[in-house]
Amino acid sequence: MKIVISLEENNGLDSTASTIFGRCPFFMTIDPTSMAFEIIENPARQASGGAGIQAAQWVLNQGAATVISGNLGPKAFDVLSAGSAAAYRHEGGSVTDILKAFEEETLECLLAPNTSAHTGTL
Amino acid sequence: MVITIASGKGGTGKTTVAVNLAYMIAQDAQHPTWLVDCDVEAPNAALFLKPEFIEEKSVERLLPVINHDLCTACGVCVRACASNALAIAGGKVLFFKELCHACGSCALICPESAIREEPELVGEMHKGYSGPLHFAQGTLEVGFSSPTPVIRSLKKWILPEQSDDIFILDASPGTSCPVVETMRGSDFVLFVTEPTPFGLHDLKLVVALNEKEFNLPAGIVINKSGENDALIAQFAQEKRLPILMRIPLSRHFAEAYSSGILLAEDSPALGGDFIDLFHKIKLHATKEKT
Amino acid sequence: MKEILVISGKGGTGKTTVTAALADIAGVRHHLVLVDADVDAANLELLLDPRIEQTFPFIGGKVEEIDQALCIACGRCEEVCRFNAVRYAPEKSYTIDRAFCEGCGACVHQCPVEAIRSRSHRSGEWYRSSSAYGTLFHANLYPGEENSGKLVTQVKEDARSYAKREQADILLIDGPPGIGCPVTAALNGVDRAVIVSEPTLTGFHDMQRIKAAADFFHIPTQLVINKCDLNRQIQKEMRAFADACGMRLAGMIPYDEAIMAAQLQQQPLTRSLPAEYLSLFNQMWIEIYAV
Repeated sequence: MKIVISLEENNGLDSTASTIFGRCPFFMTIDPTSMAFEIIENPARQASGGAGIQAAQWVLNQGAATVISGNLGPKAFDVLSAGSAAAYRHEGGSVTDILKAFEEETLECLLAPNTSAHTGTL
Repeated sequence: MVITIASGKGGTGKTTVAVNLAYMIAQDAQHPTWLVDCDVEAPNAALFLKPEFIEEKSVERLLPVINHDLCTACGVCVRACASNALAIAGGKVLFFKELCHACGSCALICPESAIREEPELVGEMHKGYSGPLHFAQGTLEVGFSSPTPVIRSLKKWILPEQSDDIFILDASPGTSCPVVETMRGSDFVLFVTEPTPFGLHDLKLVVALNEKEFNLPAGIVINKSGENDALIAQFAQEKRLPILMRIPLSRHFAEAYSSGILLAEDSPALGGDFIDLFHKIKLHATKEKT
Repeated sequence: MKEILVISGKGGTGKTTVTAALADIAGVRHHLVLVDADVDAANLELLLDPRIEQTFPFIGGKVEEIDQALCIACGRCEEVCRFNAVRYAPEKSYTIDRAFCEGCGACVHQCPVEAIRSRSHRSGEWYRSSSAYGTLFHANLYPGEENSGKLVTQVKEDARSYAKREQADILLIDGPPGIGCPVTAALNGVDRAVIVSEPTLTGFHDMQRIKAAADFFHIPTQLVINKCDLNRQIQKEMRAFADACGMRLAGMIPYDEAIMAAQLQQQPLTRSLPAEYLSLFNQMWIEIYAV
């Protein structure tokens, strides 16, 4: 499974997570089972408008089914929802903290996972 | 003759000058006169002139409509869209009209001809009268970010190719695109400022804008005028911009403004000053042409 | 860290004057980072006397450009352009007028010989400066340019990251006027919005519109009424409106011609007219910060 987390910085698993989704500086894609991860600069950051949409589109293009960020804007929400991705809201902390909360199911669920869906459609 | 009233800084008295100038010229009855409120995000001139509207017209733009039966979700339109108004998720194309710039690119590029275009309301325009003064305004629909198309349509609707009529255009504050669009094609631009560091700073910006884009004949009105006018006068002299009127700082005027009262109606002497202002504008506008 | 945005709706109500005074009060007890988000006409620097430490270019817009060497003058670009940006002149063939071009890229895709390219251009700049009140982030959008919302976001985010790194307590933002894109960009993610308005028909009208915008983002708002005794009737109506929608009154400032003159001193009001305004803004800050 692939999870995307919005980050404020690029500092591996110690990176502080960002509460912003569309214009956060970095995204991490991570497989929580193997803990293999990748951090890239958010391609939507410099968009003059629709950054949330572009970011959400990017998430789906990665084949990720789960996003962990802060509050999502309505448009990003629509794209992720249409792509049957799930979204959770974190309360701050590092990637390690957040993954722990995710495992323990203490993160607020903004968009429920749709178990019958597939993702990654472009 | 087309006169744009601009300011740079908000709250200097642009609308005050525009409505009173238009009102007095119309009262003087030498020329048919129009007040055209181009501050389409927040048109306020009507609060003072209380016009009776007789005609209304919509401003529309063309938005894409996707035929999902023909659409193959190939993604070409998503990649072509410069505004991120399209996305593909769950095998379907999503359209976000708030971001759409109505450029038509997606409809042109779709290999399946699955996108057609339909009109969407962007704003409204109204025409009417306030006594002898003709009045027109544009209003941007809530939620839209670009006032420029509405301003363009308003000017097209109201301003004839050639005319001896007088058109006073009340621009929005600031120095960005909508102000440029309002100023475009004018015969004269009147800068309204106040004798403060903020007023001077923003006056410089809007003067620079005129110099860069159009170099229209121009002049200055100092509102809330008083002992610090030298701040503006010095800059005006450097730029060879005439100071065409000073409206004194007055609590009484501010109170009248707060209730939507026309200063020229409240104070006949001030009304006369606005007629003088008009004569000076005419003089400077034609002088620069020759 | 608390993020506080000062906005107005209508221009000229005293937003920047209030922000500077609050910065003076807050800067004494808190580690403050300041932002001037009015990128079209940045005035906060006129009161805070900042020293620019670093300048950053803002690449805001895209415009299209036709490569004359490749152009076959078929006119397809002129046909498809919705913004009247394509010009034809016999000597120069087809060119794109930057003033009208919106960077939509339609012509780029439709040109049969791929003679048109998108180019980014520098449409403004932003700065990190030091001041007696805290680090100030401010910007300038060059006259006639667009995308001020994007520049506002850029400056705010830089300031936010900096403030977090430096462990500042407060991010105080002087917002843009109006109710459009730049304002919604400024509202994004703040903890509180302080609306500075005035008791006039236009002021009241715009105050309601901007409150609606803040409500949409679920941002709690407070009201400051400047020139409060200019029109007691409208002042009353504004206070009733605020009461009815649960918006706290953070303070009122009387109509005072001395305030205009004090601006010449290029200092916050709490320094140029301390006897009159120090305690008023102290009280206002307590209302805004502590409540």
